[in-house]
Amino acid sequence: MKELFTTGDVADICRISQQTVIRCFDAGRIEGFRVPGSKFRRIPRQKLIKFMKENDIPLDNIESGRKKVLIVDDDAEIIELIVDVLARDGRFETKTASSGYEAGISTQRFRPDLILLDYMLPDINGNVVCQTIRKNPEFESIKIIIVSGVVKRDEIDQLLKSGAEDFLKKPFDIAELTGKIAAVLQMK
Amino acid sequence: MPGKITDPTVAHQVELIIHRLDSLSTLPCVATRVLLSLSQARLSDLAETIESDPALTAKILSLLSGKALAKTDMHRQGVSCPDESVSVRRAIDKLPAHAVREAVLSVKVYSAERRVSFRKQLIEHCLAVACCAEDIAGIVSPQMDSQLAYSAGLLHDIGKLALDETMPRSFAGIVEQAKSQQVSSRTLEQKHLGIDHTILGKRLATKWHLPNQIVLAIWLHHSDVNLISQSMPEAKIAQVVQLADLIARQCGIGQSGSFDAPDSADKIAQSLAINPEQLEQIRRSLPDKVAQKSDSLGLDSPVTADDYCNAVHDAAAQLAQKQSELALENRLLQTALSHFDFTKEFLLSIDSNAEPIDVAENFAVRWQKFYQTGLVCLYLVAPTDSPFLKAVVVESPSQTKVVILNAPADLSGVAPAKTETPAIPQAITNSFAILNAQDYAGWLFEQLDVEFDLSHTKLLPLLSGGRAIGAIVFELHYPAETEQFEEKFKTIASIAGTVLDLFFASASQRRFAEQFAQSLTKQPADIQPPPRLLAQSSAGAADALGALAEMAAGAAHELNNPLAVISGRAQILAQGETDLQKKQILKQIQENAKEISAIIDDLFVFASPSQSRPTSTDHRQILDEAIQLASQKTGVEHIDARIEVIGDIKNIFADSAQVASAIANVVCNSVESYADSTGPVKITASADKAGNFVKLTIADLGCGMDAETLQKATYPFFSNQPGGRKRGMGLAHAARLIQLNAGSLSITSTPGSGTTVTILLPCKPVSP
Repeated sequence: MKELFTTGDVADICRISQQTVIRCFDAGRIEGFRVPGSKFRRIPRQKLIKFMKENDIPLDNIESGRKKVLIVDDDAEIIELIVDVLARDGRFETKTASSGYEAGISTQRFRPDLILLDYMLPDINGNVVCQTIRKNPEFESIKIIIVSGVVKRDEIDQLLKSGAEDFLKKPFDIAELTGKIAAVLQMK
Repeated sequence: MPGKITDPTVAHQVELIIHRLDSLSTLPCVATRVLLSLSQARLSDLAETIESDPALTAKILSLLSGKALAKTDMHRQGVSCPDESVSVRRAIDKLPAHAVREAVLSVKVYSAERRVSFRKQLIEHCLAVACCAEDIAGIVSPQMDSQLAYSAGLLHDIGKLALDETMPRSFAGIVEQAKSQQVSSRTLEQKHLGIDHTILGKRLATKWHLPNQIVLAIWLHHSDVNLISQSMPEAKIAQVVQLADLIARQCGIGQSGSFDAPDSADKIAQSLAINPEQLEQIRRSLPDKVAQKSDSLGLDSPVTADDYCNAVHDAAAQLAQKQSELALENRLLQTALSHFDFTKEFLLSIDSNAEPIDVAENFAVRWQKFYQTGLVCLYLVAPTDSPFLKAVVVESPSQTKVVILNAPADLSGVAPAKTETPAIPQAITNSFAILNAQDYAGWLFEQLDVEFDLSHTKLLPLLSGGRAIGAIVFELHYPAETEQFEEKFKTIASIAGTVLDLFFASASQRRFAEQFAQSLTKQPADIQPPPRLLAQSSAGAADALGALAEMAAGAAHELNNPLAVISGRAQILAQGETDLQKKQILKQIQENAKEISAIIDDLFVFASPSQSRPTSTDHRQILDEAIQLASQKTGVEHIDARIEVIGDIKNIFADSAQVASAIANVVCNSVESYADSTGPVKITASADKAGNFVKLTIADLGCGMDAETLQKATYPFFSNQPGGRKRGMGLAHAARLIQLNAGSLSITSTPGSGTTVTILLPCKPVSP
C-alpha cells in the first residue's frame, strides 16, 4: 500500500494534470510537504484521500494498492483467462481491449501501469502500438509486455528495442505470467 | 427589214449576241458520225470528221492556243504548239484523248430542222474554199502552210455561220434579199446590221483564240487584194482564201449566201504568182475533192435527229457502263485499302515488350471492330505440350478477358494429338480454311462462360510459316459472304499468326536466358526444384517457400491461442485442486499443450529458418558445442564421444550455432541408436583434397536403419522409434541447417551394425 505520493501519482489517481496538482498544493488545497533540501512535493495518503473526498473525486483508484493492467488481445477467451489469472492473484486491477484502436483509447482513459499486448491484432501490428505508446511522453511510465503465439527470434529482439520490457510466449505458464508482470512493475 | 435604217445600236446588239457564242454548232449528221467514231474509238475517222466541220475545227484549234492551254492542265503536261504550224491532225495528236473527246462532245448540235439544208450548203461552200485554199497554198509558195490554209478556208465564213445560228430569221432574210437583189450578203449585212460577217468572224476567232493567221484570213478575205499585198504582206493567207472563195463560187459548189457575180480570179492570182494553168487545174479538181470531204461528213446521208438521239443514247449508255465499272473498281480498291490500314494500325500498335497473349488480345479487339463481328475468342496453342491453352475472349472493345483453357486432351491422358478433337482441327493445321466452329470447337464453348451464336460462328487458323499457332473463333452475322472474305481473312490472319509466332519465339528465348542464368548461380538456400518447375518460373521455388512460411506463421498464431487457453485453464484448475491425482491430470493437460506448441514451433522454424550468419570458426569449438547440446537433449550427462582429427584442418566458414545444433541432432540420434543410450559416438574431422571443405563423420555402432527408413530419415516428423516419437524432427532440422550453411549431409547405414553420417562444410565463403 502506497503511503506517500508524488504530484505525478496524484495526477494519475485523480485524473487531473500535474500542473493542477502543483497549483493546488501551492495554494494549500492539497496538504503535504516538500522533501527537505529539494523542490519535490510529497503528499501523504490520508491528505490525498481528504483532498479527493473534498472534491468529490471517485476513490476507487486509491482504495486499492493494486496495479492497473491493460490486457490487449483479439481472442476473447485469452482475455478471460488472463483476467481470471490476475484476479486470482489479487494484486491487479484489469481493463481489456480487443484492437489497437481500443487499446489506444483505453490507455488514454485508464492510464494503466502495464499493458499486456498481443502481437497480432486485427487492425494493427503490436509493434506499431508499442512504438506509438512509447512516442507519447504522457505514457512514459507505462510498461509493456508482449504476449504472442508467434514471433521469431529476430522480431523479439526488435520488439524489445522498440519499447517492450519483456516477451511472453503462448501457451504460457501462469506463474511465469504473474512473475514477469511483478518483475517489470518492480513489485515486491 | 428592207428599208430599215441601220441603227448603230443594232450593230452593238449583234456583236453582243454573237459574242456570247462559245462555239458554233454542228450538224446532226456530223454529230452522229462523231459519236460513232468516238464509241468505236476510230480516231482517224474522228480526225477526218473534225477537220471537215467548221464548228469542230474551231473548237479543237482553240484548245491549242497558249492561253487556252494555260487555263488547263495540258500546259503542265507539256502540250504546246507554236503559233504557225497548226493543223487539226497535229492538234488531235498532241492533245490528250479525253480533252479531244470533251471538246468534241461540247459542241452543240444544230437543231433548226427547216434550215438544215441551207446550212449544209453553207458548209459545203466552206469545204470547197478549204480544199481550194489548201491547193493554192501548195502552189503559191513552199512557205505557206497548206494545212493552215485549209483550216483558214474552212473557217473563213464562221461569221455567217454564227449569224445563221443566233439570228436565223434575220440572216435568212438577208440571204433572201441578196438572192433577189443579186448582191453580196456582206453589203446587206452592213446595211441592216451595221456590221458584217468578216468583222463578226474576226471577233469570234479572236475570242476563241484561233491562230493569228486564221483570224486574218477571216477578217480580210473580202478586202482589196492589192492593199493587202502592199501593206500587210503577212496577210497573204487572206488573199489565198479570197481566191479560193472566188473559185469555189465560180464552180458553184455550195452556197455562200452571196449572190453577186464573182470577181475575176486573175487579179488575185497574179498577185499571188499563180499562173492560169495551175488555177485551171485547181478548179477542175475541186468538185471531186469536196465531194470526198462531204462524204466523210455524211452531208448527203439521210440522218435525222432521231438517229442522232440514238447515237447520243448509245454514247450515254457506254459512258454509264464505264462509270459503273470504275465505281466497282473503286470499291474494290477501297476495301483493299481499308485492309491495308487495318494491318498497318495493328502492326504499329504492337508493343515489343508485350507478352504474346497481349498481342493476341490487341488483334482480337481490332478484328471484332473491323469486321463488325459479334463475340470473338482467340486461342493460342503454346509451342510446348502443355495441357493448357491461353485464350482471350472479346465481348466488346472494353470487355476483354484472358482465360486459361484446358486443351481438349482425351480422358485417358494420351497426348492430345491422338484425340478426335484437337485444339486446332486437322483441316486447318497447315492450310487456311474457314470452318464452322460448332463442328470443331465444342471443347472451347464448354469452357467459356459467354454464349456464342453457334449457327453463325466461324473458326479459322492463324498460320505462321504454314503451321497453325492458334485460331480465332468469331460470330459472323452478315449473310454468308465468307467466300468473298476468304482472301482477306487469310491475309490478315496470316499476318497475325506470324507476329504472334515471333512473340512466342522471343518469350521462349527470354525464359531460356533466365533459366540459364539461374543455373549458373549457386543458390544454396534454395531447395532444388525439379526441372519441370524451372521451366515454368525461376521464382516459383522461392514463392512456394514464402507461402509455406506465411501459412506457418498464420497457423502458429491460430493454434497457439487455443493452446494457451487450454494450458492456462488447466493451470488455474490445478491451482485450486487439492486432490493430487486430479492435479496430476491437469498438469498433464498443460504439458501436452506445451508439446503441441513446440511442434508448431518446429514447423515454423523449418519453414522459415533464421538467417545463417556464417563466421570462420574452429571446428573443435563447434564440435564441443554440439556434444554439449546433445547431452542436454538426450539427458545423458557424459556422452561417449571420441573425436579424431586427421591432418591439418582449416576453420569452418558457417553459422556456428546452427551447425552445432545440426551436429547435436545427429549425435543424439547416434546415442539413441544404442539400446541403453551409452554407446560410443565416433567423430572424425578431415579436410578434402582441395582444401575447400571440412569433412565430419559421425559414426555409431547402434541399431542402424534399413533401406526404407534410411530413405525417409531426413523427412520431418518421421521417426522409427517406438512410442515417444520425439517428434522426428532431428535429422530434418540437421539437414536443413547444414544446407543453409552451404554444406551437405549424407547418411549410410546397415541394420544391426550402425550408422554413419557424413557432413561437408565449406572453409571459405561460397562465391555467389
